[in-house]
Amino acid sequence: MSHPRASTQSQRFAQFKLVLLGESAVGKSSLVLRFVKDQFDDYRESTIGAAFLTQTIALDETTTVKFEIWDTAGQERYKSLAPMYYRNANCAVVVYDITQASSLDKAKAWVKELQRQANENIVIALAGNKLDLATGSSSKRAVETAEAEAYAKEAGLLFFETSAKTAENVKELFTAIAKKLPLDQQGPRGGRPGAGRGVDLKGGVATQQQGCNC
Amino acid sequence: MAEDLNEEYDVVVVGTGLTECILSGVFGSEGKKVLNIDANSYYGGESASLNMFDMWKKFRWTDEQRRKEEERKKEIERLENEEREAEEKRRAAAKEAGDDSYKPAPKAPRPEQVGPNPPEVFGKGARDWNQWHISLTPKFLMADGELTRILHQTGVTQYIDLLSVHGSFVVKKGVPSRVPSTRVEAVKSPLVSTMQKYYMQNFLQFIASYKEDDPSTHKKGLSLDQNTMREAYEIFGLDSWTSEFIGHAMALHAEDSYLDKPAREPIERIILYVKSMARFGNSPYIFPLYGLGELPERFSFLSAVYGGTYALNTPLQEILYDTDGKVSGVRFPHPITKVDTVVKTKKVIADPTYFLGDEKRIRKVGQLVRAICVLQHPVEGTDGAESAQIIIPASQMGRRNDIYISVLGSVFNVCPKGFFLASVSTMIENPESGNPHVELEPGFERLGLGSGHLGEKEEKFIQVVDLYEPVEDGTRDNVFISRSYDATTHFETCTDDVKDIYKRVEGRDLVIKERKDKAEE
Repeated sequence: MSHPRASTQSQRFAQFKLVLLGESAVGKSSLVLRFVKDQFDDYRESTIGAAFLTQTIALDETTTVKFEIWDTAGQERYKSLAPMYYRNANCAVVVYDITQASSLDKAKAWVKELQRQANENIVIALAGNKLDLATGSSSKRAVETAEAEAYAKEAGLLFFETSAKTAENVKELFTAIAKKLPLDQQGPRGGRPGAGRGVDLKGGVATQQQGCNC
Repeated sequence: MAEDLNEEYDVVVVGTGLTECILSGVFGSEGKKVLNIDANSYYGGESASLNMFDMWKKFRWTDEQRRKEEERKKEIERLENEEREAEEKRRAAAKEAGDDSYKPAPKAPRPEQVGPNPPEVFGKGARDWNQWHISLTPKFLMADGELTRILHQTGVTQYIDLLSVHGSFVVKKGVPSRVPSTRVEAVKSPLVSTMQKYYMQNFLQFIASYKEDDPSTHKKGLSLDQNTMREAYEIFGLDSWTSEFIGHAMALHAEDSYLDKPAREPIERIILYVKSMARFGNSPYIFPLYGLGELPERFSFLSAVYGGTYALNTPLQEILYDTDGKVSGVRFPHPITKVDTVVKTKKVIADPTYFLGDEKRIRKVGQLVRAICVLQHPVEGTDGAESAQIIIPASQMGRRNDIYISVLGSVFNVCPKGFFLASVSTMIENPESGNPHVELEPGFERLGLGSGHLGEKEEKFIQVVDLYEPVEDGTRDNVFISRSYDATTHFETCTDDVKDIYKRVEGRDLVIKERKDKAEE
């Protein structure tokens, strides 16, 4: 499923597992919804009714990246996110809410957790969401851009301030991740170890699939 | 912000073992509001997979060390909350004063871990320890069994990879041989004597072609409901050894009481074995990459996708009842604030470990002893198989119960390269001996661990497991309790329990809806 299939031809195609992390109500699902369906709903609560969504980005004429995007399904709310969620993730978007200072602390904790537990070469992006609430005189901003940016730089993360509501920087965020992923580099980095090796349970008598990550 | 655990749930599920997680996934998919709590910090309960650190903590630390570790975690959480609040105040104050030079305060030192880390040969830190996914209840899935079907129907197979187990063996006179499941294999198998080959072929022919509603496929003179299995073996002309390995290695009965019961159940189990064998070849078994803990985790995630709520680190404190004696709610400490919390619900499903010592709720039905062994070599006599199931029939050891051995290599991503995980288990026959691990000795010998031998980078984790079943069916007060995972080598009894509990809860048979995730382009 999430193993890259970069062909040897001039056309390059790679697929990656992307997970979203961050405190409840910072707008994780909204970011996905904006990126995948270009929609926004002020009053949606949680869950998107699917384990994951997919979206494809064409980086240039010959390069296509497909994201398999996993949302937390709300399991993070009571600190009960199953480890299988971020296992074999190639990239992660850690989201905080720029109007809630404590949500950046939570984001930092998630970055630490990922650096400790996830794939060694995982690409992590920090996204300060709800940028639309930080405009004009009635700005509700509680986290300064410079502060978050300095932290992201220190921790080696991509950094964007986004608005799922206005779509500002959403596509840019995912495109930057796609550009940072190792499209040419094959091997364990891109795919789940063992991906595609599983038996096929569909239908009647099945045969064991060949293990081939290339 | 959604409401915070103060609504009413259709079902509160206590424990996140496989049985509980399948049920919460099923109820979630039917649109019910489900809350699932677990006292542990991980998913899976008795069916979890643990990393090497958690294994060490569970098997090598003292109760005192584990208690202090819990205190340490609470203390760290308290410090973090305290520092975060103080930080927020200071940050706000600095902002108010227009002070740009604000820097976070240094953090207080954290208390140190009391218990020991695993030896370095098993890894030097969290990243290494996390390469181990050691299943506490190492069972296999039958490739054509009910759990496999449920995984497929619920769509969970889309996010989980299962591999075929490389071989299924039975030991005769100290030598393991592959269990024959086709007529051709029966002819070649050293397990079947020359005299018996013809009869074994006939029997396998019958198994392969049997159809309940087609009398022409039935054996003349054999009624599955009227005849016992002993009589069935006689009708097919199978001798005592042939019938023993069929009963133990194909019907997977751990002892001989099945012989004098109707032939239907063992025959159906043999059909399942042969059909499962036919699916992927080498053995009838399949096993998930990253260990069995994947299954409860995936089912819980499915339930969450349907809107189910999950709270780990949340022990059940009390079940509340209305004036009719039926469940009205449950009490537990809030998973984050630890404040005493009561939620309303009319039904509770729980695993038996939440009622230990409560004789009105559960009764002990047996005790098994299991050793989880870390090896550095494949098991002798299995053609170097990366994974295998080996059964030592009771009669070969002068016991009443078989010894089951399962072996898994790093190809299943359950351990680092170069290691193998082997589990040896049996029902305890002499509980008074005080030395339950002695009953596993024939299994240890098979693994090269006889007479207490243990290589430098090898390890044995031995555990005695009490098996429980509920005293009542739950319909009196709406507290439905699951069974312990029994000594069998596969999950068929677990899915029986799932169906049974569903029927008790809902009053009708479980029909799983097919789920198709539409990956949206």
